[in-house]
Amino acid sequence: MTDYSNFEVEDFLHDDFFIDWVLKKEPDHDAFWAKWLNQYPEKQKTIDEAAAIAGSFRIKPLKVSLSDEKVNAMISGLQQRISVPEKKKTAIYRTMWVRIAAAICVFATVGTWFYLSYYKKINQGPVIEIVNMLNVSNQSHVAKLIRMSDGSLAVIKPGSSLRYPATFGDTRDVVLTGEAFFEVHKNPHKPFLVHNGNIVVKVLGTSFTVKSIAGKQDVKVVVNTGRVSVYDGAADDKDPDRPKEVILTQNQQVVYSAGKQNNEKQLLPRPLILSQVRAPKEFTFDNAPVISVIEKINKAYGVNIEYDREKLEKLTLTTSISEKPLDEKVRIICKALNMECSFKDGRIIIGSPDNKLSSGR
Amino acid sequence: MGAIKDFTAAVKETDLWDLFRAGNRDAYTELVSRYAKALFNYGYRFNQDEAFIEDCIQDLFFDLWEGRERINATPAVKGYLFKAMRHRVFREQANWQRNQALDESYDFLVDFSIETRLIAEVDVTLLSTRVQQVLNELPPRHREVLYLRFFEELDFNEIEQIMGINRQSVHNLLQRAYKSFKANWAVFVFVLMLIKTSKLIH
Repeated sequence: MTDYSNFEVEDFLHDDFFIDWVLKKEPDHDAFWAKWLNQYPEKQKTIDEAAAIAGSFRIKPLKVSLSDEKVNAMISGLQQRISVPEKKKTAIYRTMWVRIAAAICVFATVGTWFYLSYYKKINQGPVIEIVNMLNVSNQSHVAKLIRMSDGSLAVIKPGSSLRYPATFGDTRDVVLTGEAFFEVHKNPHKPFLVHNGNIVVKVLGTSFTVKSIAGKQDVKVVVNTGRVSVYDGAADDKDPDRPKEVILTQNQQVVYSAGKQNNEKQLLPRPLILSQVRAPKEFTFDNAPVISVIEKINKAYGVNIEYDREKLEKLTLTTSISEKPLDEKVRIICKALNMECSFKDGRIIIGSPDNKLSSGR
Repeated sequence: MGAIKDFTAAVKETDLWDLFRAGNRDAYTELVSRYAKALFNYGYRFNQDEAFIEDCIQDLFFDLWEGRERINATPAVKGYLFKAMRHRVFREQANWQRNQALDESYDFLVDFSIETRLIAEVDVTLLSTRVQQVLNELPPRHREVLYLRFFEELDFNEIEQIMGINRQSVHNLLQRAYKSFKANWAVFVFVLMLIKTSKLIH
């Protein structure tokens, strides 16, 4: 035990045992200090002063805190996340096949690409890039859904195009012309970068819309959930006048112009359907008509899910899908309806693709 | 489930830690529900982006589960988690904000006050405001030490670990914190004595 006989006020304030006594008021500590003061009665004043100071620090509570609901959501989210690897372990056989199939796919695409580039070489001179890039250009009048190798989704708006690698390597870089909505699979070690001209939108896991503004270098970014950073990728970091990066969180947007040093972000007047503020309510359904569920998804994501209106008209659904990405949402609905769904050529189809289909709109 | 919950709620944190390391999910869940709020409260002081801090907490606990077989027994679970939280917030922040200097120039949001109950009868409002002001003008590191010691009730050993500095540095920070209001010390103490002595000591 420390020898306290020479302690002054400040010494006591550096002593865990003393501070713990003041803060926690444990009974055995009381006994110790009573006995000690008996032995050194002249120290009463010192002890009183130190105790008064140690006991006087207060901290005003923060304006925000983590609600019980959020803690519970966190726990169920974690329970889901930690049960994934065990499933994998029990299905090694199947996983292996999936991997081999994927490898063949990649190989086939690479083969095609080399053929194409060789062809180009003969006809159009040198080819610059040797990366297996895919280019999806949406010339139709409805949005196209693309699922990338990491599970991230892009909804490409009509008249827009996206270039992305068939498989992501050490980075996740995609090039956008026009407008697209992204739902990015979370991976803190590999930021997802959307390039639009020189402007870069960087994200770790979230959903947001990027839109280039016609005739200008400007890019508009709207964030539904999570966090993204927008900056000028061509600017020199040492240039004090370079356009500053803008960090956006949910329900914020920016029109980012590489020509401007300060680009102001704005808070949206009304939260987006997919933001955490609204999504849990908007995507929890209790005996809701299936068609209204599908239409809500169409509206939130700007997609056009194809389905047989006659078949689904009388069906209802009870489910909560706010936390799921777009493709999972559709799969869950199909599973509940015991129907097939397919994602082909950017189309989202509920029901057998051979059946006569009517667009949801 | 209810019974298990009651059981884990009564378990000591070091035992809980060992259960969790052995792969017990109820123990793991209990750890999350015991510490998520305190970790938020701590993390938010470095970065006032709620969604970001929530992500940090979730990822922290996820990685904790993934690495549970490599994690050591610890007598100080809270300190361990606080250290992990601090580390993660700084790391993820660096991922986000290019060009941002690490660790050295962080801010720590904390609003100190001194207990002002019963003070009304003595004219000390001005004084207590002044002491408060001095506390709140302390550099972030000093404020963090005070916060961890007097609010989170972590001991100096744990604070050393969490902030990654040695004992001497912790004491130096504290020393300077005390010094900063020493000018007002005498009056300050006198007022405090008026208010508290009888209540605290007897």
